[in-house]
Amino acid sequence: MKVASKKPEIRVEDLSIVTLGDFNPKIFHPMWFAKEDLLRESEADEARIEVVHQDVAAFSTDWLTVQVLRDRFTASVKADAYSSHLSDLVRGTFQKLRHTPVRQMGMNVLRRVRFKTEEDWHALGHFILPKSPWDRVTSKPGLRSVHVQGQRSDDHAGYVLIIIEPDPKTKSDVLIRVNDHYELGESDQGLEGADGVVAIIERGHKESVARASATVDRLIMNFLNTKAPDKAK
Amino acid sequence: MASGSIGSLSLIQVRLLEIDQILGRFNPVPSFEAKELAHDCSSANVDVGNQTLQRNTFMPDEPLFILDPPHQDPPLIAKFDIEQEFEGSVIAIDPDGEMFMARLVDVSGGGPDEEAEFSLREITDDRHLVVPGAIFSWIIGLQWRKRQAVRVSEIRFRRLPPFSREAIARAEARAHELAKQDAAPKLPSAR
Repeated sequence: MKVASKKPEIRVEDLSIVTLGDFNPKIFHPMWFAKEDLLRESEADEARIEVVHQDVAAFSTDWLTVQVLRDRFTASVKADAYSSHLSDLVRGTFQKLRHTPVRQMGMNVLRRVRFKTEEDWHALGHFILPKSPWDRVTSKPGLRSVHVQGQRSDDHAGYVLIIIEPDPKTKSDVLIRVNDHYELGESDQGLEGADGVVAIIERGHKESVARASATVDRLIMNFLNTKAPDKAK
Repeated sequence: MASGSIGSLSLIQVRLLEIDQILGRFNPVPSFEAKELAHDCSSANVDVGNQTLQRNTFMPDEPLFILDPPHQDPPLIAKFDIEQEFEGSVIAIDPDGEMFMARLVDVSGGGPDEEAEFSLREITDDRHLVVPGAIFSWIIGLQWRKRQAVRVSEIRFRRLPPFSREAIARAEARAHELAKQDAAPKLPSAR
């Protein structure tokens, strides 16, 4: 007997590109993006600016959110229809700012898995975190968050991090984030700093998103094919 | 550590107050989460600010405070249920007729390539991007803006930056490789 016969609905919740380095947040004003032709002028005009200051810049347009701290740049979209436009924006940004020191980057996909029943939702928790090791350790153990780090399938320095968390607001949804993480300057492929960001996006942001989606699909397929879950006694 | 002062406040305190005023919370307790997140680019929403700078400038061993940027609203478009998606490339432009011709590749359905005419009047902000060879996406579907669904047909031109030196070098290397293959005799020699 399989644990769950009904395939859950899986959809993209958020796509983001994050870079870590040394940034100057105050330049990341929507008008700068428009001036550099990285955003439409009307979108920059109508952008909702939360703050643009020497320590943080944060704004959003209809389809995009940008947040820049001194050590972190994040651009994200909710609708995957804008995935290619997100990669154009980040690639263009770091091509313009090619002397910016960037040490790490992550291409992230967050997918929401919505189960048909609460029972299936719990079953995934038992599948990811078997409960027998927790016997007499604590009562009613439940999965709150699991981080699994895997090796990259290519030669780049970095790793793939998979984070699984239930959505606390529901009894049906699980959020699975796949972080395709790159260490810049530690590979033998000459991918350093902002140039490294540009090259990595150019080589395969689309592929990274597809790989992340396949990872989640595979995990859910393994779950659907499993026998009885290891529940708490 | 030497520092100046304004009235009874040190420059450091003044700076803290300014930043605190602009950004929100003041958290004097160094957090485990903050230390972890400083090296993590998996999260789109971050609660950590300029921790390294503060640690180096003010307190060598412990972070003095953590900037916690205010919660940022997500983009207005929360979801886009795509019914049909094409990737288009501009073939020709007729400025007098206010039209352009494009080849369309069906990305969503895998249907055959098509050619279509578009009115330039549909393109407002991206008009300068309409040049032969320009790539755009044409998405038809249901766009969710907060809780409201809107049926849209959106044409958005790609803002593809010029190829990087690395990509050009790769293309050149590939071209040399192909040229070598072409130069190699494919048929037995006539001799």
